[in-house]
Amino acid sequence: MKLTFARTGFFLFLLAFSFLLLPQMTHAAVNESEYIVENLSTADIPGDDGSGLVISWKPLPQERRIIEYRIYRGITPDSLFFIGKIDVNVKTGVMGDVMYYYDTDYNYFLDTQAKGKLRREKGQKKDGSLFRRYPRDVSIVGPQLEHYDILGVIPEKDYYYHNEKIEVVTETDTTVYAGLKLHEFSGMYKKLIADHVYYYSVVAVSESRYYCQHAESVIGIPRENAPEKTDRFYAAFVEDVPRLQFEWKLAVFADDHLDHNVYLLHKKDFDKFNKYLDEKIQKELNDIAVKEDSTLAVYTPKSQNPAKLIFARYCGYPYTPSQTAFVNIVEGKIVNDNRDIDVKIDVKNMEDYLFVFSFTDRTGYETFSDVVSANSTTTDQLPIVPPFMIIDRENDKGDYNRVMWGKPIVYLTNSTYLNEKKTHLQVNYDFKTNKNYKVRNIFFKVFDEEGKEIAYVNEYYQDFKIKIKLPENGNEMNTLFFEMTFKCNNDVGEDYILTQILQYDEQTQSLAPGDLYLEDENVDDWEYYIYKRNYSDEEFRLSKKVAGTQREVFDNIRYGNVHFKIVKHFDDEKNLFLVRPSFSVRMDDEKKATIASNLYPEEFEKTILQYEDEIANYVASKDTLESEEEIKNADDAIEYYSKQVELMKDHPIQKVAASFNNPKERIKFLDKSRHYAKNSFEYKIVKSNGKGIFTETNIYIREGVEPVSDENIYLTSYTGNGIDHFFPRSNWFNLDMLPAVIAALLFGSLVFLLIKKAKKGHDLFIRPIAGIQEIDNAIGRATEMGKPILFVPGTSGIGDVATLAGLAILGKVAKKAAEYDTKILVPVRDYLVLPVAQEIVKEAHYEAGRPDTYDKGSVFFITTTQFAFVAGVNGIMVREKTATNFYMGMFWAEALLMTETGSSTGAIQIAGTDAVTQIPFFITTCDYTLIGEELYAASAYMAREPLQLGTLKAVDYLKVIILFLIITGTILSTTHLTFLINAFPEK
Amino acid sequence: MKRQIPLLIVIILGFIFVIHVFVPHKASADFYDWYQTWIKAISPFMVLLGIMSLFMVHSTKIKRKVPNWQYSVITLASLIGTGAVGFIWGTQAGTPFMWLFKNVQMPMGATMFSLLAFYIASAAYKAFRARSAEATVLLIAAIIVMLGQVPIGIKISKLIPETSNWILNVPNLAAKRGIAMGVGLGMTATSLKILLGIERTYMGGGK
Amino acid sequence: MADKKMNFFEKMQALDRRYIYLVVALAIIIPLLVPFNSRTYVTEPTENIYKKIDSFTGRNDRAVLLCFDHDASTMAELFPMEVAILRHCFERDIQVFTICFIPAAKPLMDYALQTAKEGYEVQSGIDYVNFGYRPWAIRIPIMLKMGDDISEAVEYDDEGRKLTNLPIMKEIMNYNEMNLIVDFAGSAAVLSWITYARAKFGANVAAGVTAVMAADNYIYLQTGQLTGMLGGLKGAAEYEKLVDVFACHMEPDENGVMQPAPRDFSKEIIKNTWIKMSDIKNRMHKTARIGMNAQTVAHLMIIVFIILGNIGYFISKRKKDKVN
Repeated sequence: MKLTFARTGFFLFLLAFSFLLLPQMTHAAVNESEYIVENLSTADIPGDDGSGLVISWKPLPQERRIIEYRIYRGITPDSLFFIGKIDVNVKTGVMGDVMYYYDTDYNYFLDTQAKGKLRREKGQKKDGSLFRRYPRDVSIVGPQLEHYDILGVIPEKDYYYHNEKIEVVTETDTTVYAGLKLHEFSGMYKKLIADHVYYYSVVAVSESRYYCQHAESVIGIPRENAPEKTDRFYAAFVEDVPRLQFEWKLAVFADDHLDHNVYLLHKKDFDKFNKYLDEKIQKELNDIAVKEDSTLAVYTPKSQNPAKLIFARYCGYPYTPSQTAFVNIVEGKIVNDNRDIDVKIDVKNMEDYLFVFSFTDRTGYETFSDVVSANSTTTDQLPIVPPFMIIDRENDKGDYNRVMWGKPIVYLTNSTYLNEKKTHLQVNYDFKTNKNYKVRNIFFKVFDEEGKEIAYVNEYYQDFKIKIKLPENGNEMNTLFFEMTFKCNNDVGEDYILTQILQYDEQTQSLAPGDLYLEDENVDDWEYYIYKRNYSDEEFRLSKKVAGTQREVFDNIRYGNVHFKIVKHFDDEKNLFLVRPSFSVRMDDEKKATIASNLYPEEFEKTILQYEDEIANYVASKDTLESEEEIKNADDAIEYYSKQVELMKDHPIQKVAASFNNPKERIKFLDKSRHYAKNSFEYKIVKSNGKGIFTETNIYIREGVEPVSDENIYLTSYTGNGIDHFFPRSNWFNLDMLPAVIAALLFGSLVFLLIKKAKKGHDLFIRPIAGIQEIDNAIGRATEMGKPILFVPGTSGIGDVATLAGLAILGKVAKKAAEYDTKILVPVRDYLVLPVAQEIVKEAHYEAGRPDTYDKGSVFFITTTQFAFVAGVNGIMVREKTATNFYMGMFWAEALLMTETGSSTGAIQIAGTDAVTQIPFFITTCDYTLIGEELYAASAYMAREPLQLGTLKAVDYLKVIILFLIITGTILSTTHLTFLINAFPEK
Repeated sequence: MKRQIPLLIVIILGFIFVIHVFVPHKASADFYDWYQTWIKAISPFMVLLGIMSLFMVHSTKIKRKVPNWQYSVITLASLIGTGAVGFIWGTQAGTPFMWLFKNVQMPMGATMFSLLAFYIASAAYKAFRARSAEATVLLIAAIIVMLGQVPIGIKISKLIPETSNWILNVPNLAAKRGIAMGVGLGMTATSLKILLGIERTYMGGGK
Repeated sequence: MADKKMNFFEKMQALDRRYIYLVVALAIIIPLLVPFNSRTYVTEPTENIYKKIDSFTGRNDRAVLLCFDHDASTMAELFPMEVAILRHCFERDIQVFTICFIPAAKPLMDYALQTAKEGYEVQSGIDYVNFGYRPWAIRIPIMLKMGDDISEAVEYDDEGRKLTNLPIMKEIMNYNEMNLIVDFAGSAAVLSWITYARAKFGANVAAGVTAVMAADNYIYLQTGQLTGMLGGLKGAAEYEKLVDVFACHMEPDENGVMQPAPRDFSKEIIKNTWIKMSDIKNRMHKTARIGMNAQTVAHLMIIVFIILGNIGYFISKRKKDKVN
């Protein structure tokens, strides 16, 4: 057989593809039992609410070349569903002896991305027990729902407007649900249920994606535990007020926490307390043991807690609750009626007391911290929180509030000697300010150890560095004292001075900045905690914790709200998941009860009637009750239902909602009301050292503001909005963009004027551009040689303006080429550019009167891969021996690869690009290069129409204006006049 | 009409997007999100267009047995082969598709990329001639920067790395910014021309 | 042309470019195969990173975070610096964390850890932790969250262990402790660390970038927003040298056996020290410096070509002038 060119290529090709089979074949010879993971086991995660399991196994040895471990879970051992995987780097393998997979918390259960049908896992036999992820099929997923806590996340609009009312009738009663299709959920998340039995298995997947046999499934039962203990708790006693202050750190898992508590323990009760703790731990262990083996005896703790509760607060799941608290001691007593607290304390003998902190969870477990004693302090040692204020952040879409406090801060960050003699020092600084103080000048005064002033710097333009000159004997200059002051648009006061030292550090052999002092306060000692609370939260939650140097925080308030709903029921006939139609709108002003509504007005009415029935029943039953406790319970119930009915009937929101006849308008009103409740926040600040020495401000109230008018019905029940609660506004114009608008308008009018002028026949001078003038000759050359022209319209997409400019030039070049009857080849890297380029070349042939010569195949797509495209283009140059090459548009690293090849084939090359980094390459390898803006000017230049020339000339004029601004700005700022620079936004 | 309607769409949408830049409002942000989903929906069709073009060009070449048609066979076979491998075994780590990517595409890309070193050398050799005063300045600057980047520069003189840094930071940055400004204005002008319908080549033809 | 006999310089004028390719190839390959001694000049930005990391020596309440933001295409330049920094940390008992936000960086990150670990008895979870890959989309949320609590932001390490349970995390809470972030990228990825970790929480940020990107970062160095920078292979070479000279310094004990004797950074020492590269046994951690040798020769080669080309150009020009 003669080895022709074609055959060689074909063989090479076959060879390449035969390599594909290599990884597929490698596992064939191995004993399969060696590929099953060993030591598969599950364990309960301690300190949680009984929703977490950890699955562990021994990873296979590295030689097995495992690429991932896939984990499966089910509620019966014969059908396990894929829940997640752990990727492994084949080359390095797994470093440890055990691998873990945590099945905790709410994590992915189902969403619209899921497959439509249930499928067995790859490599499973027909009766295999492993399946892929849960499918979208309600009839399969539905029955699973009851074995998990499923949280459905539903965007507001879908919940309100795309639901279907479903009545579920059982023997005892009828329940109404809102039915939603899967695609109306943005996702469903699962949590394991405590004491429920789950089965797990693991499959190893090898490098060639061979699914090994799965390990025998193991049982996992998550157990309810007492909360995790906090490792940081501090107490402080402010002697002169007198007041106790506490600060603590949250546990990592805090989802099921109910209350944060502080207890007072007399030192003499310490042993008793320890005994009490031991019994508590015994009890928890016994609880779990009894669950596993019901024959065991139930343990009952005997001792009482000797510590007395002095503080308790609901912690407001699922957010980050406050981590500070204080209790006042009034007349030797701590009293709180809401929590039935009434404890005597001897303030004179504070050292006799210990304090202990605890978390209680929803099942009643309580975990105590280590006991601490209180550090004594006085009011003057507590930090002072500067006045703070809240305003809406400007120029945004309405998702931020601006929290700002205090006066600007400047601090030194670094220093470097600039010369060998160490007489020139560059000091880097940073400054923080807020909207109230726009920094004009920062003044640095530098003193030596003797207190002699050695340098003074007026930093009128803040570029974060200053240079100072040190005396000749700079080597002995071990410490420099800095005094920093400000000049701002608002007066900061003469005595507002920051001090910091630069001290020689042996380790780094340079001057390192020390602590920053604002008067006597060490700024680095303190942190600010920004707390916020909206109308639907009971408790404040932490928005941000920032360093003491910060002066401003942007508090993010997400614009869109979603509904979180428990999904337990389903309707497989209609393919719906069912959730409760009732939803909360806000809390009442006393933060005691929730104001709720229902998607279906008639259901809302029904609930009121139901509650009224309950009240009537309780009232009637009271006559027959005898024990005091029963009567009290009945009274409580009556009070609760009466309050609910009152809120449902008389609350302004409910009244307005009831006044709508159109259900859509009613929902719209409730939606907006809820939106205001969720997105309006009140704020307070805590300034703390992190150890219980802190000062808490009151809630910020804006003064001199009129309450919101009644005209906006959506704000019916939010009368304080704008005074104590702040709702971020959506802005219609971004003021930062004002210079851009002015420039755009100026440019527009220049274009208009100059086009008019050009149309009148004025001759507008345009500087000759050699590259453009040569285009004709280059096309002519190709015609003479009878070789094709190559035109690459950039390697970027159609969205890039450079591509459009390149295509505009293509139009002109293609027309000329058609006139001369020369073939033009246009390779394209972007799909969207392809049809446009085809159309342009086709049209050019029509215009030139040569539609017959247009060949659709001359404009073609190669590939999107950068260097593969180069290979394609270079191949064309070499094979077709193109006489003229054009490169017009955006290019990256591929530029030189193409032009150098083109130059080696002897083609005339003309390039045009705005890619600054590629221009040098084009200039060195091409005959002519259009640099930057010349690319954009080219089509106008070639067209010579008044419209095009007018625009071109307008650019020139605008450039003059910009140059003028740059020069003036430079001169002005050199002379300390920075207003012009500051008039332009930084971004 | 065939011309006016697309032009109208361009003008209206163009101005809406200009306004979007200046308006941070929720309505404007929502519109942008909505537009993004459109883009996502349109792009798959474009891929199809590209593949069709590739197929047509190369199948014609094979049919007509034009010179070097064998390359077209390889192109098409690779296209089909890679596609098929991806569809059959998926694109996860460890699949033949990824194998191809790692062992064929990546090294080939790297090879092309490393060719740059050679091309830069030859381009520099040809271009740097002291033809004129400007060219001489360019030549000297290039030599200083090249020396400044390698250890030998400091051995010759301490001034070399410092001068090299100065060249990069001052004249080089100044020129870059000048070009960038011109480019910015050129882009604005081109966009404006498209918005106002002055420039319509992108719709095929100039008129 | 009047004179038909072309001299050497004229021949050079018409040189086929393939000869240039050949010379460049040799200029790169030979120095890689046969390393020679060259002196690395350590620049200020590199020195600053080194000093910063070195100041964490032996401290449990300080850590460095290395963020891998690049794929294999820029590995040649960035990998040596990553290994050098990791070695510095392992040698000086400095706690290191690693994280990446692009999937392609994950294998590189693992590989760098594996390479640097050789010869050290360091343990994951005690001396270093690999946070693994996190999706790009949550990059900024993680950066912000780390300012509050790292174990909440990252939760699990690459081996699936809860961070709070790891000994290394005992005294590490947020950027106050994890005080330095070094981002390795062939792009402007370090900017987001500057905007979020530095501006908001005051963390120190440094960058390891490719030579092409280095120029873009000078402004941040000037303003002090970047603590330091390693620029391209040169930066890597500089860092390698610092590690060798200070962290991995060896001194003979009384029996004359070389013992590790790490020492602190000093400008005076670096001026007078150089490490021999010609002894092949120790090539392992000299990749960047050997690479710089190749770069030196290649640059010199190009300069020689340019000079030869110019001489030829002048000679032929003079000849032409004479003829005319």
